[in-house]
Amino acid sequence: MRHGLCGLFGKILPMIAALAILSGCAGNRASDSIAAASTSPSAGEPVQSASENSGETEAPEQVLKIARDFEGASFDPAAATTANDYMFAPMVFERLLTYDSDFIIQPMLAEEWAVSEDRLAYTFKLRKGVQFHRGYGELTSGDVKFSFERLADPELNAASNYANLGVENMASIETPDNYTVVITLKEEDPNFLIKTATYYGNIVSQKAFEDIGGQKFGVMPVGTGPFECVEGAILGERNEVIRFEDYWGEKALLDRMTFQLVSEPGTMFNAFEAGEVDLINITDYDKLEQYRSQPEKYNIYMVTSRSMLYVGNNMALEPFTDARVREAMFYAIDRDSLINDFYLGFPNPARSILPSTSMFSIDDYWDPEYDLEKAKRLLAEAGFPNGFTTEFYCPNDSISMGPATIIQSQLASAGINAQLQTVDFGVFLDKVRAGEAPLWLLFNDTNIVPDNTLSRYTSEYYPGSNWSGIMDADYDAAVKAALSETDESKRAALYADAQRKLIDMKAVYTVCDSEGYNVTAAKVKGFDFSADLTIRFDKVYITE
Amino acid sequence: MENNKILEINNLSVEFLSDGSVVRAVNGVSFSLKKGETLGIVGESGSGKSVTLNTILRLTESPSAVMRGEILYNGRDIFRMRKSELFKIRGKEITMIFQEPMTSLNPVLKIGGQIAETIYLHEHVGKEEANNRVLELLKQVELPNAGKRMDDYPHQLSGGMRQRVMIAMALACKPQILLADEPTTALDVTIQAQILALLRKLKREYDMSMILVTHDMGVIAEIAERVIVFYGGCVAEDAPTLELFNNPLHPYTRKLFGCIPRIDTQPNRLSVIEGNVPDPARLPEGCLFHPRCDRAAGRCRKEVPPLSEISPGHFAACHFSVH
Amino acid sequence: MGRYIARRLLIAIPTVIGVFLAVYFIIRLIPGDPAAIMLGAKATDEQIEMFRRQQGLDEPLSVQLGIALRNFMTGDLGVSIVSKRPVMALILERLPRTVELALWGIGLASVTGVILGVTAAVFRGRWPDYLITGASTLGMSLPSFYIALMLLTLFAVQLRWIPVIAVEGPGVSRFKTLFAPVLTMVIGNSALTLRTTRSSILEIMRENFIKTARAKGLDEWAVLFRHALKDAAIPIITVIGYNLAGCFGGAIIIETVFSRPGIGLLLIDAVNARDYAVVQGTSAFISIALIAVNLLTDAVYGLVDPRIRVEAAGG
Repeated sequence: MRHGLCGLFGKILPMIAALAILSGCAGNRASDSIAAASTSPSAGEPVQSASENSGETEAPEQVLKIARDFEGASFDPAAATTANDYMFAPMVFERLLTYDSDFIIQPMLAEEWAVSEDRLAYTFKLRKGVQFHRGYGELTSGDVKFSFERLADPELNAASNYANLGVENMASIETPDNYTVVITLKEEDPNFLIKTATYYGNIVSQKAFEDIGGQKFGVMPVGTGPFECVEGAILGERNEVIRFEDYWGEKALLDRMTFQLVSEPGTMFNAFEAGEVDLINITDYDKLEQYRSQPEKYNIYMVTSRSMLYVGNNMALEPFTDARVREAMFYAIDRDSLINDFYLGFPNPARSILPSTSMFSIDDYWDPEYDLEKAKRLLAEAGFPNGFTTEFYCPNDSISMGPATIIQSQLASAGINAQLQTVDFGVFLDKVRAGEAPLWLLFNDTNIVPDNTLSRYTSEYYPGSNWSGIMDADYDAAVKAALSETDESKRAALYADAQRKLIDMKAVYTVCDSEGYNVTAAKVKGFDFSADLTIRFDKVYITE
Repeated sequence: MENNKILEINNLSVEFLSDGSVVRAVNGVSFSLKKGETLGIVGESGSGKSVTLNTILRLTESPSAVMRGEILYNGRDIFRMRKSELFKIRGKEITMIFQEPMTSLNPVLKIGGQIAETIYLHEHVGKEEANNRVLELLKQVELPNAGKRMDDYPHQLSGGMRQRVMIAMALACKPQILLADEPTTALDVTIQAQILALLRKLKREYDMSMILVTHDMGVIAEIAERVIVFYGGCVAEDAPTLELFNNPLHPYTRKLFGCIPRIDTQPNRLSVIEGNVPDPARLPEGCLFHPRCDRAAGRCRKEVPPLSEISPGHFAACHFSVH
Repeated sequence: MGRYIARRLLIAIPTVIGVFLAVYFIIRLIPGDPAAIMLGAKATDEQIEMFRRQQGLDEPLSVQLGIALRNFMTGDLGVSIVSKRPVMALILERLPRTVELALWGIGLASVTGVILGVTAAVFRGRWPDYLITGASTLGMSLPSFYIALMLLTLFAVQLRWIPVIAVEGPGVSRFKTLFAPVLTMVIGNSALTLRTTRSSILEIMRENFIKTARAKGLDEWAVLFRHALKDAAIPIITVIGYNLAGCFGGAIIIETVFSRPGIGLLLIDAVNARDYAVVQGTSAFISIALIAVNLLTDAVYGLVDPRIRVEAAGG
């Protein structure tokens, strides 16, 4: 066969084959397989004793395989904006302090701390002998100073943490000796200690950062936590952490954890049910029911987050300028039906404008009534006997569109014809921040220190983060009072007052706490959460 | 049967099914080819001459074609042959050249290769010998610069050159019979003459028999020793060339000659044959030519005139040709 | 031929710049502030402002354009707003997977399509033809999402032949991770190739030189493979090139279902996040890939059909 076949196939197929082989080689270099775990070159401690400590040396490796459906951007804690960003590299970093479920400060990297008389200078005494990962030496006060000050660096994307930690408010950070850090504030900040106990204040190794450089650090950062990162991470896709053998505290029980991004829920469930993955997070209530009915195979853990479902109106836009209209809208929403019928009764109804897991959250003031008749009457009084038409914005993701549709139909029963605008998230933010959304719905979360959530509704933030157009001098004053109060005994009452005033505006309606559900295979034990609502992976182990 | 008849066609008919109607392209055609003879088949377009020629090698075979009759090559019926036998005849014993040299060669293959393909197909030769033979053939068909041309593609050659290549291809395995379907129709007149001269020369050198189909009487005069006139899928007249030109018997043949403008006279108008060739889907009853014939009589409308030998070697299908 | 390619390359440069500029403006015309998206709904106005300042997003558009263009010319595609990593690094990281899927997927899809198309042409009007053509209609009309999920369910969940999440590891060869995605591509992409092959061959078989080939004594298979196929190649190559080009941005569904994020997903995620640099860089990259594929297709034409070669050299 000389011509035809040879002509077409003989020339083209070898080319295709050659290109495929070339790409295969390139693919190998990009390394789909994670390199074997690298043990950190410890300072003198033999590896032997470390593995003996963790339990049986002959037992199969304890590996926890985790799948997530959201991407992480960078592992550098400076760039993290939410707790979710740590999901791909959990417990790699630690902070000066931590807090328990009652928000009482506890020591972590700092053993002791003290506040000066004028409440401006905070002195921290560091724990001695705390090691960084990968042989980068002992934690010193210089690392603390470096970790905080670098948040001002524009290269690091750290705007969120810079603000939340309050770096702007730090007049100076001094390190009189290797184990002492003195931070002097410009103005009093009653929340300062809590801030250093949150993930904004994660401590990194200065030597490592300068050694490795910004970008590589984001892929394989160096901290002090019970787990350390290994080579081969592909940001936003997969990562692996191993037990840090030189951890200053109680070592983790697991040998390794692997993380995988799976954006398609069907794939994730299939992988989980096939045993390829041991832990997933889900929001699909039907799947939840399915797993709940098989307790011998699956464990379900509910995480109460600081995220809530908000529905709001914009009282700067007609007809919501009229308080009666706003009140009518609130009466028209049947919260119980939404929680029990749509969400199958899983989440808790919101008790305030703040989530119940935030500091200073009250639980005795917000209990909305559902009364369709009252709603219609109020609308008629306000001049809308036949209702009115308006626009209702929500982002076009899977969790928002469901409740938005239900609320829309509830409002319609009262005569409020809300035309649903499901838009892409960027467009949504544009609209609400411009004050152009008469009605809006979103799952949003609050920091543990709820200042931002309260202050965003003050007049100076409209248009902007004040999506409800609230411009009330009383409320502004209440928020200012609460945020600037330094006397611990008075703060709770002031925060409560601000919340009540905000609720009375009838511009923001909180529906329910948004829980996350983690489901594990039955063989995964020791699962627990810390006070900041992150998973205590160091206590997790696997039985076979 | 005389044993110098190399090809004998008996009562050949070819019908095509087309859109529910039956098209009778060839109707009961009979003639034969003597060894070493050059036979010309002449007729208008649609007279069935090309179909007849193509049917000799069963190139018209398709699901919608019905072929009846006998085609005997050296006594063997081509219609009865198995495919494997037929493939041994095609390109080797009986070869064919076609009307459109522009499209009859594969545009993406080198011409040297296309010629060599025939050789490799039918004979066991090595690459070098095949190439030598191709070169020889190209020289024989008088292709200028044959050595370089071997590696050319068809589009790099002119029409006349391509026809030479086709001829070379047809002669590659020294065939017994060469079939030529209007080989010069698509060429201009000067090239025409060259090609005809070439064919004459090669026929002698290769000692072949040849059937040449054309619509041009001039080509017949140039090259054919005997002529068959086709009309409406039937043989109208069958005679040696000189005899036909001097004494055409069939009214159609006479009219044909009447149509040819003569260089030595100056007519006021070109004469035409009134009417049109019959539609192969709706053929008239009786003699096919009768609607256009001056001499048509009642008998012609009802009876199909048989092909009869009017004088030795001269056949005609007309009721009135028997004097 | 060399001059022809050089000329095409020359024209490619303004094309790519044009794409870059078009994308540059379009992505910025879409409502949505990358700073707000990146920082999330709970961010304060001050945080958003600071972020914008740090990223240079508050500069006037002309200044931003000037910087971006100048960088682009020197091969600097900028830095992702979201991950702070250089765009080029992001692309190169995703590229091998996309290329791998594209080559294997289109390669096998083309071979399958051609073989089936030839078969359908040979058996035209009979049951193999109906079967093949019918199956190809099905392949064309089923959405690739459906095909991908079906294959995943069948091979990973029911039969357990391949892992659900396509990661190489002990017991999981690269073949297994590629199997289902490539099969999805073959089912979806071979249909057009198949149809084109079939009709092209049927057309060629009506040509005069096919009659000549038969007259030489070639049997039908030889006629098909030695003569018809090469002449039928041009439309087939066009379709294959078109399919290949489409892979670079268009395999998003396969990337999602099989957890093999590639260039397509990179682009979509960047658009959603309004990550300007990544959108620009990736679009420019895809357009370069398309141009390269087109050039390759043209070059292959020249290999297959000598008439095109000569035209190119002459004009």
